[in-house]
Amino acid sequence: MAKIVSIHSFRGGTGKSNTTANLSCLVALAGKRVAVVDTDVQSPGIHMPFGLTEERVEFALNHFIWGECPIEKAAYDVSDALKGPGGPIYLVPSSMKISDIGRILKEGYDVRILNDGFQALIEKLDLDYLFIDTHPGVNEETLLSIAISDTLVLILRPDQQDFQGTAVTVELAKKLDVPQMLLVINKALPSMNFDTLREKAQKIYDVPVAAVLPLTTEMVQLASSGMISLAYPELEVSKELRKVAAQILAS
Amino acid sequence: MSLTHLGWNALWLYSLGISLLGVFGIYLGQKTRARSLQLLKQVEMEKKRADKLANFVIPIGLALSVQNELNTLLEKILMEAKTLSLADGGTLYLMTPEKTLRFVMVHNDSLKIAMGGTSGKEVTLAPLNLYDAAGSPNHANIATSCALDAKSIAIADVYSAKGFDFSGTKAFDQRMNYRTVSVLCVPLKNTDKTVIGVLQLINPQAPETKAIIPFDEHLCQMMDLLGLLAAAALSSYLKTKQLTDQIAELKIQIDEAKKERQVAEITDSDYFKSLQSRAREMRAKVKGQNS
Repeated sequence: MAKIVSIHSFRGGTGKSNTTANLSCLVALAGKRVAVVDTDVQSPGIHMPFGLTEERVEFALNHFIWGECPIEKAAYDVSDALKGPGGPIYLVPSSMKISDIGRILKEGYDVRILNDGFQALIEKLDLDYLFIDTHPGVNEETLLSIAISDTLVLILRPDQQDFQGTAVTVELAKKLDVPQMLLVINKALPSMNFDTLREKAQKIYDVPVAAVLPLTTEMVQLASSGMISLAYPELEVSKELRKVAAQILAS
Repeated sequence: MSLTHLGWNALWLYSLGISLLGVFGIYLGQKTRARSLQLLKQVEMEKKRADKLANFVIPIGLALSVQNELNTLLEKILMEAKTLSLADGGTLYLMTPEKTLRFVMVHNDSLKIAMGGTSGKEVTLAPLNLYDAAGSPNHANIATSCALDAKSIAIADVYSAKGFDFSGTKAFDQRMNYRTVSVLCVPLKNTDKTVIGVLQLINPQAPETKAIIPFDEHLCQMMDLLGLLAAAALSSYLKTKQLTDQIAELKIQIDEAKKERQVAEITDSDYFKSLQSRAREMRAKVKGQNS
């Protein structure tokens, strides 16, 4: 049976989409059939590291939500991003068109449609893993993603606002009986003591810290244009991402 | 008086006048030459100063600014100052919050002493108090006096100097069979004029003869500049380290009351309750399928 992995953060800018892209690729490279759904209809972004351009996208998640296409029609094979054997890996992007974003925000939608879409996608593409790149913050869509997830990866930066917000999300996730929760502390300054940070976070949240990802020059330079774990596999940040992927695969 | 007599007198006066003019001219010439020589010497000194600034002091300052390890930075400050001044020995003190000068480095080439910095040998000498027990400033010690007034002090010969207590130096000399002659203390001053340390150098040696020479005015000016650059590098390092330590000590503080309030706002909603119930059903179903 397919595993659903939601990647969530309380605030934007934590590197959630980049981390989702990297983790989904690493799981695909382990020989798993993977799909990624970008449910961040307000500010879609995960298409960037996968190199999926607007021109190539005829149907997006928006069109499925509007009933204009079955979900598998909005799934694009992005296995080229793996740069090696593995996968396949598919991406269901949210529409990048301003008009589509405006429409979906204005009209809203029944989040139950999303759940139906996820199940259909798992069946149609015979998936092993479905990654959900959620919108930051807590709302009906993100709560649904958390509720149906087998694994919830919470991404946070080492700053007070993220610490506080993550505490709320952890509490909600526990009430929704998420089987596996992992914390990933991203954009940690190299001068920080990572072991101490990990220990403190684990103690406060009572959730394992799967990785502390350092902020590196390569990440800033690469920005959203590529997968750091594939472009620079020797870096500490890439090794940490592989550890997270391993924990997802082991669950 | 005959015309001939007058003529001779006139000639004599004329010759005297010329001679006097000649002497005056020679005098003026000599004065001008002396003045020119003085000016040339001054120009040469300024050129030497500019050369030393461009070729030594400024590059040293730049090199100090990129040091990111404290012991290496402290060592570089003292070693570069010793090299620039041709000093046989030197001591670097840092100001403590308790207003004492803590010994951080002591070096002496003749006595082969190297303590502090990257030597691995700690300096165990007691710090110097800027103020005595009664709270009066300690101007008896040259290093503390330098720190208190934030001014360089140069002594040509400690054994004949007045106004400072060099008994400690003399006792050291006797013990080590050494002779401290000339001393220069330079304050390490921030841009806000706060003294964060003192650099003390002893016994500069003439390059050719190795004879001990006093610290001349020109060198004192160089060392003052070096003191400013060293203080800037040290301040920058300490500020960065303080920030780094603060970041490393990052505290994770959760406002539990706020968290509970925010969680309750969501969990009290009908949507969440319905979601929670559906999630439980779904997980129970999966569990049943797996077993």
